[in-house]
Amino acid sequence: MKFSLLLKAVYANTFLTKGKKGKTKKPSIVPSLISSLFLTAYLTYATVLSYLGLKEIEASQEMMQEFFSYIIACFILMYFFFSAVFSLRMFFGKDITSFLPLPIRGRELFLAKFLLSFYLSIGYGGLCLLILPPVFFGLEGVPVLNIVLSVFFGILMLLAISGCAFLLSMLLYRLLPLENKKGVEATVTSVLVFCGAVFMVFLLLINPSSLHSESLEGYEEYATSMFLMGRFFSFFGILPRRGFYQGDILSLVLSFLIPIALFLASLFLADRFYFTTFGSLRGGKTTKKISASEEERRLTKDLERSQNIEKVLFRKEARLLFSQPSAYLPSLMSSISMFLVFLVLSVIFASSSDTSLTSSLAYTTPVYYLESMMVPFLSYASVSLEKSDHEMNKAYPLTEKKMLAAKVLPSTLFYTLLYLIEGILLLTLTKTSLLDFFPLLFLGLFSGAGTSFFAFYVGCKRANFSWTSPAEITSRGIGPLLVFLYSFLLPGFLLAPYYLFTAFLPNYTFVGYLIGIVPSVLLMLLFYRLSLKAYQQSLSAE
Amino acid sequence: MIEISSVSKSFGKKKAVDSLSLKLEDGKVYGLLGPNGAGKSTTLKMLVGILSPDKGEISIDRFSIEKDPLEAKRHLAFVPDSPDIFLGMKGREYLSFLASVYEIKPEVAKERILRYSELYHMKDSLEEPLLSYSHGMRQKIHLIGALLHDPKNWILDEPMTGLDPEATFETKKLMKDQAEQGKCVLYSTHVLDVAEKICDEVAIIKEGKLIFFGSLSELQQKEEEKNMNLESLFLEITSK
Repeated sequence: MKFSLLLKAVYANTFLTKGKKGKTKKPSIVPSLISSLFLTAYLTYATVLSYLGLKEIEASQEMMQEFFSYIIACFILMYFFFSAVFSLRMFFGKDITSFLPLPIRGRELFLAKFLLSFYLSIGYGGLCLLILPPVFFGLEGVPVLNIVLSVFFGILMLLAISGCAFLLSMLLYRLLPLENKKGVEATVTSVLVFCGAVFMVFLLLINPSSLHSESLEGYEEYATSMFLMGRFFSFFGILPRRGFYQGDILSLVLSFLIPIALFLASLFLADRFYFTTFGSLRGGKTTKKISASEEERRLTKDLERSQNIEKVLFRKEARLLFSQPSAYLPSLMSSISMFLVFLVLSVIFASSSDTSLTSSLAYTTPVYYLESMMVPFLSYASVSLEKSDHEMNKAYPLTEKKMLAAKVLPSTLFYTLLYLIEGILLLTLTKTSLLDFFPLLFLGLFSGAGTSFFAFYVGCKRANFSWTSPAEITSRGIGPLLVFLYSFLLPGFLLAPYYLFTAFLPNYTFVGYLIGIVPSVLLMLLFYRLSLKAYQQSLSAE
Repeated sequence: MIEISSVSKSFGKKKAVDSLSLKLEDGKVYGLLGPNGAGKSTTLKMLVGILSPDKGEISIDRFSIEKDPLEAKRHLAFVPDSPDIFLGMKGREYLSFLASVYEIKPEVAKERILRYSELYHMKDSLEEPLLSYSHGMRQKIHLIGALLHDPKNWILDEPMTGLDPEATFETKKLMKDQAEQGKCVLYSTHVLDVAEKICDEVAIIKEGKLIFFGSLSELQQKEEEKNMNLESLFLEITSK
């Protein structure tokens, strides 16, 4: 069998989608390039700033090395997650029906899929890994030969990571008790988003311009906490660091050999496990048998609860959303990761000497900001998920208002819950009076509801898009990326009046309440009207 | 009772339905026949409020689907041609949802759910999500759902597709029973043998226009072919 033909078959089976008039549609390369360049630019910026910060505080050589190995480890980790997502995409194609009956060796299929996922992973996250080591080492004054070696090492490492990611995706599919393939893909994507979010916030922390701290002591404090995180991830960075900085030849050789060995091992294991993994999946899912009386009891309970249509619609929407992990996991995990970052920040804040509300806001603003961006995507997904249900909803005697409320409520409630917990924590840690905190609390709640409506509005305008994974975005073109960026700007716009107010009026007064709450309430109402109109339009669209 | 007066619908330049007028009375089973792309599904979708007509009026039991949509929809039930909807819900949840939408009392809904799920051998599958159902099972759960509120007008878009012989038999029987109870049943189909057996009257449309509306005997009289069956008559009338 000709390998190039197999490569084409795998490509067509995994990535080509049905376009207009029955023609096949190729995935666009533009979003992957944009995301890769954006990521690279951002990481380079953060790294150079952090490096300058370390120089400024005259950090020790050991600290510098620790920092670089941490950065490299983080990039490798990022790449690993990209690679895992694409591998999953490869793995969960239509293999069961298309390749399984053919006399193809697992190794060949693995290689074909692996090469494609490698190509895509490089497109998304690999560029930064290839560009950034020379930047670090150049800054540090490492000889040119070492820089070239680091790039070569990087490429080998990418190959090895892709191989491992591929195997991991196979194992995940086999081990995780998830109902459908999208669930697994979403889980890994969520982990990617989770790690990405934590990583970015930590980079933000070590960015001197975002520290709001005049003293070098403060900076060192944050740098240390960053290194603790770095040590956790720095497995991949240890060997090359020794090799490059300490001239340890054995470490350098091992850092080349380990990736190659990992790659070969994954190839060997693929032959052994690839088809057996698939073979064991054909049985389908078995559901637990329950007794007839239990069935009736559940039905009676359901019907009794179904007297309130609002509650029923809410349950239906929640069920629709939560039956598809690909829809809610990225948003959920991102929100939880933001929440965890908030906790870490709060603890750091509580242990520092400055415990005023204003300074606590300076630390927690990015968290609120990111959280309010992530959570409303649940309501965005609720429109996209409707698909054919959307049409059928029109045949029922229900008003659009009721349907809209049911769709926006899950994300709003979830956001409110997180926001309230965060608010209580912040209040406890800062020992601020409840009255002082009220404007921020209301502003956050109304902003969250407003952003949920806005996300729903965007969902109506661009239905049938789900930002489940970078691969999904690739297959659907650049539009969704623009939507995402647009949504990114909105919370900033909503938060602006409040922060303007805190800048001009340090004491929390009645005027503060007005300035803090009124714009967010007005904006929420505006987005409610907009989203209702958009939903009505989408219902009448044919 | 369903009344369609001079209804037209276009998609871009293509006229899917062209000045269609029909009056469907209670107590009868009507078949909506036509070649592929004739406008059958578009007509049914306009009847239930999924699509809005460009021109004309549609009323369900004298309630206009455009002006009084909620009341009109309460008087009908629709079984779509594609059963791949609400896949995230379990069978039980989907039926409870419909019971709530149509404001059916719990005890009445329970009795009907148990009766019809028994009839279609779906009782053991109510705890499973629709996603895990086969095409035929999804079709069955939508048929059960459509019967829950005992609709006065039953509108079905190719309901027999994917059903096993027993379920097909039961569905045909149910359609006849509904008509005998004084309700109006309208369904689109390509299976002309079945239409011949169960329909009191048929409407044949071609390229969006009504080319015949009446009983089989009237069609035979019109075509002056007394011994021809519906299939032959259909082929003759649509080939003109």
